[in-house]
Amino acid sequence: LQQAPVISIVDDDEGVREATKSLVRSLGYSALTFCSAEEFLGSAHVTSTACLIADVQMPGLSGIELQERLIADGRRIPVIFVTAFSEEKLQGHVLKSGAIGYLRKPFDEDRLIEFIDAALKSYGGQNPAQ
Amino acid sequence: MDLTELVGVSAIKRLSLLSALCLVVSTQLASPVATQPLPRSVLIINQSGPSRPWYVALDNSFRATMISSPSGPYSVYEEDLDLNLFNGVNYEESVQAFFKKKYRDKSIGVIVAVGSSAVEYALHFRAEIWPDVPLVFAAVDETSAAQLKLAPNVTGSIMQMTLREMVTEAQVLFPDLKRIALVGDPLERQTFYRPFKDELPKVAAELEVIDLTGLSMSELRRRVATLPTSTAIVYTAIYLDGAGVSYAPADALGLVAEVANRPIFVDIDSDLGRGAVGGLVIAAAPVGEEAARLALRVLNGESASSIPVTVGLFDRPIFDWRQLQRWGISEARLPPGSEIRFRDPTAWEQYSTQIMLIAAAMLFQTILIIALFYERRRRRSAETVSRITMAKLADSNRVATAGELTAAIAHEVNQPLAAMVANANAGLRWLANKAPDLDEARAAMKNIVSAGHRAGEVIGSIRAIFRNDGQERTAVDLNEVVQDVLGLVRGELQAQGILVHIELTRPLPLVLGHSGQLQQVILNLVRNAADAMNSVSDRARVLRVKSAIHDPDGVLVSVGDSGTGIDPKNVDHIFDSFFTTKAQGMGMGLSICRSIIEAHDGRLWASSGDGHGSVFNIQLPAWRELRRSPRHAAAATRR
Repeated sequence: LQQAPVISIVDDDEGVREATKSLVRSLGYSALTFCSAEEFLGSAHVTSTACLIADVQMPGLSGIELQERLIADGRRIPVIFVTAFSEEKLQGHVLKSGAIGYLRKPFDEDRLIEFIDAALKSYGGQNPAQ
Repeated sequence: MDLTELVGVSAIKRLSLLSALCLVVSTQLASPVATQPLPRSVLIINQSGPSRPWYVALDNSFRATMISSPSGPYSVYEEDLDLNLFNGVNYEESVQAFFKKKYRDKSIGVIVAVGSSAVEYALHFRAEIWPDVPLVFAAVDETSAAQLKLAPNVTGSIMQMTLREMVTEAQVLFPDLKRIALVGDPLERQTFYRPFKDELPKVAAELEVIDLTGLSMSELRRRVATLPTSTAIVYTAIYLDGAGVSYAPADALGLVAEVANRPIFVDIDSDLGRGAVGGLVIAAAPVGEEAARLALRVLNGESASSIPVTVGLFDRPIFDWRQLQRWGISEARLPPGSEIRFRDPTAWEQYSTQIMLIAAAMLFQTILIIALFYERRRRRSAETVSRITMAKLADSNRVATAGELTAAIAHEVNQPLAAMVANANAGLRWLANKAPDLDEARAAMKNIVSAGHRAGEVIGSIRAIFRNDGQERTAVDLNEVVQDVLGLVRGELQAQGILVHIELTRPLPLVLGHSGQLQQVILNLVRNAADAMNSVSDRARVLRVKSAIHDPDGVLVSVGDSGTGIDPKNVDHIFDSFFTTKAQGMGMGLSICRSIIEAHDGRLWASSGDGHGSVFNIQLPAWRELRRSPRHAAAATRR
């Protein structure tokens, strides 16, 4: 499991953050949690993250802004957005800018697995070295 | 130079008009008296007495003219002969003897004789007492004047006064006049009206004449009460009735008029107002004035003989309005130029000012009442419109708030739900593994429990906001309210990238109020603060919510933002209804907030933030009783 890709979770809600982490881990992946976008960007795990699960609404940088920042930095980390609001416009917007998926809380486990698989595939495709 | 040129044409004409008597006497007697100035005194001799006000008025007018003369002053003596009651040779002789003695020390400049009978007496007296004193006559009818033609050193004025005129006047007013009733002393015994006797046959030829002269008053009153129709009463004068009772003629007229069944015509103005209709009456005053003018001319040196006798037009049609009403005579039927006396002033004539004022006041009141009614109606309809609008607005506000709340609730409930679902899935996974990880599964289960509790708390806080407090106010801890509100909008604020700084003072005195309403107020202020920071991108979006004890006995909650602040020009308006700077706001929020706070005896105001933005402050009075109670102290420390 050393080779297991790291999945980073950014959510300001602790309950959701920890629950998501537990679920991801139960699926056999390594999971790291961050309570804000700033914390994630400032960590050493940006480069090792194979998939990012990010909440859309957060104090400070939002999930959307986080994605924009990553793209601007040239980091093509596949992102799965999670939101407690359902805004279809937002969904269309983030998917266009390269998000893997968009999940509404409470999210469906199968959809998450599906998105994680797709994310890891695209990550692996992009970075064959890893 | 020719004589005609000197005296002028008009003078020649006048000279030619001189009556024969004057021309004769002037030529005969002009010379002896002309040179000596006359004594500056006048003796008036009246044929009647004070019982006949007409003579009194005449004398007064005479005196007034004399006294206003620039050539005065003059002494005026006056004697009343009362010839209607007293006459005869003996009477005349004794009066003459009396005058002779009485005026022994008085020199008389002019004798003025009023009435034709007085002229006769005066001429006799003059011959005996005042020879060569000029005599001016007045109130003499034409017939009598003609008989004076041979008297020397005499002038005077003639007045028109005939029975014919009186009858004609009656006929004008009563065109179907068939008879006249003659009332008065017997004409042959009268002084003033004696010439009527000569006219009677002519009048009797045209109209039936009922002769009621010389009757006793009682008989007369009986007769005038039962006169046939189409009759007019012609009243001359009663000084002495058939029963030997003497009267003032006007009083006698009154007694007759009281019972008369037919209208009464008179011919001197002083008889008006005593029950007569009126007629072509002779006014006393002009007669007196004319006599005085003549007397003054004589006193100023003119010879009486050289002054022509004047014919005065002293009669005027004058009527008593009350009698016209009584006999149903239309004013249109009166001769042109008629004067109407004793007209009852109409209400308008009498009270026009008052009527105008009252009418104006009533008009003003009416206008005022109409205006007030109009204003009231307008206000009512405006109030109705306003009420409907307010209701609509409140409703839409409620709908909008409900929409926002739904989103907030969805967010707040979705978070723990998401945690629960993810934990449950994770737990199932941990158990489903070939080597079930019970610790991980247990942790996931625990997380489900805590997420479930959190969801319950969210629901609880929402219920707190919507709980109907009813009319009862309760002790409210504003810290709790703030926390409930922030808990509700947390997601919203996060979604907008707003950092929340909370500084709550504990313990905070309780306030008395409706917690639901206070929550709405704080919620509104928090939302406004969040909205104010929408456009902020160059600095942190910070929401600062503080609670504090506000000296001396108040509680302060402030909601500050780092937004754009309040434009100074809007400071005065932000609490107005419908004032908004938001593109999609209704502007009801702050005005409702202020209403709620003021209903709680508090204040809501805005101030500038430390750096950027603005601060909204709520100050509410602390609930003293509770603050001092030990229960509250305990509750406060427990927190």
